[in-house]
Amino acid sequence: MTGHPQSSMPGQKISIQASQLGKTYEHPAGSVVALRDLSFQVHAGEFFCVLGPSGCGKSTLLHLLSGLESPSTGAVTIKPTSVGMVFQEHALFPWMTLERNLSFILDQQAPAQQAANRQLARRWLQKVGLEKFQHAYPHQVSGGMRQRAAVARSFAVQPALLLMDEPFVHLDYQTRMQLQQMLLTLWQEVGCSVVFVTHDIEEAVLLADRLMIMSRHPGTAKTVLQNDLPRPRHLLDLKTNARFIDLVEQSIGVIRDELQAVD
Amino acid sequence: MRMKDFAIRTLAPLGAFLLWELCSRSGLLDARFFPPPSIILYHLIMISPGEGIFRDIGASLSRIVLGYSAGCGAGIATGMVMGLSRRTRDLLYPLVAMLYPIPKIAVLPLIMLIFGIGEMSKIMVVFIGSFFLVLINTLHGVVGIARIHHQVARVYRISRRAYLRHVVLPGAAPAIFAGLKLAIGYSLVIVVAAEFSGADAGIGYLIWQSWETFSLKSMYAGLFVIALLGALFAYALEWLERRLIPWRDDRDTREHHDA
Repeated sequence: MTGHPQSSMPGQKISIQASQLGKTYEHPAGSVVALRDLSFQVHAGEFFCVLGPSGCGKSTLLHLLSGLESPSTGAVTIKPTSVGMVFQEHALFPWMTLERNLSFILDQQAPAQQAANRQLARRWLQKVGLEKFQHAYPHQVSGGMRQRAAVARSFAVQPALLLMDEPFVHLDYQTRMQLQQMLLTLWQEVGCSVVFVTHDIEEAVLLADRLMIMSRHPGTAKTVLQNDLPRPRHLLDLKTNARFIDLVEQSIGVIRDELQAVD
Repeated sequence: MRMKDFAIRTLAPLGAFLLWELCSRSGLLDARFFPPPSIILYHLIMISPGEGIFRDIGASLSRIVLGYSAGCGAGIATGMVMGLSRRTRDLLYPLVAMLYPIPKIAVLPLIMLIFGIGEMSKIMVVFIGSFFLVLINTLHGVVGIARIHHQVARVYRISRRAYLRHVVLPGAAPAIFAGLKLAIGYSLVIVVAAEFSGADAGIGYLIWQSWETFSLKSMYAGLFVIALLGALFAYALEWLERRLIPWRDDRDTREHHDA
């Protein structure tokens, strides 16, 4: 699909329009092409997964979408101005309590209503099951709880677009499943667009409406799969679902040659 | 639990005193040169005030307080600016790297040349000593703030002001405190050395005078006061650190629970 952006379905609003994105890093030892000629769209309210091995430029892609870095070539247009982001880990400020981690960001966006912001922060911590830990510092709670708080923070800013950079990669299997389910519930409630980056094929199939599968050297899109698994999804039941297994195998099929080629 | 901690912390100093006392009383140490600590303490409490030890302590303390607080303030400010601005860092760091390792006592004559032999030169050496220690620690603290915190601040469009106040300052605070703790001990060292010459009051002056008149008990009294002040400063700063940096509290042990 490279080079020709997918035509959007009629009536669907576009949240992200990326055309021929490229990113090259200049190093003294030579330049590294992290992304090349990447075009895609994300619809408003869509759960869009970017799936690929490490080194395929998917984190770079998120940095381009969040504005942390700018593309070397091509352009990206993002409709919503309010963006939330969840990083891999350690993105909470260690010197703030969980509640303050949320309310501090909210205070930045609405300085006039600090009391209301604190209320909102507490409500979001409650939604992710952390109401008892609102006054704890990040180092006092487990890694899973820190990521819950980070997810709560990204939702609390009422984002129209949520960017997630392998947010559950450092969690154990059980905790990861809990958080995946929690994320789906919150997302369906809020209805924002999500770009979720992961290298975990099952995770991508569990969560996504569509998944863009990337290859590396240089990072670019191989294909975009439509995921028609019904919602709401219950991840425990889904793992034995025939359609789910089919989609996972399709995804593996896309990267099969690459799996065999490397190492 | 707290009582137990306290007991453990006083064990080593008390033990050292006891050993010294025994050696001195039993004649293992020459009591003319090493009088037993009980006698020194008696001298410190009963005799030294009459010899004007409070004036000496006051003189040293005021030099430390002025030089140290000004030095720390300037050190934190300069360290912040250098930490935040790559340009400033490139510009100033070579100079800092050259000046920092010069023993501050070695420049005392120069400082006396510039500021005279009065109060100002002693305050200035303390200032310079504190300044470099705090600057370097603050600089490393600011530069060492995790990249991800900068990214979070940018993604959520945190204002410059809030960024400095709520991200950079607390992020660098543990390193700043390390600098403050080093600098207070160093200030004590510097001020005493500076008072050895060209002073008419101060703990260093007391020690030097007592040495010259061979009043060893007074000399030891001065040493005791320095030891006491040093410990007092260290614990005061640690207390302040716990109050101001609560998120750092027993971090080491927590990290293990977490894994």
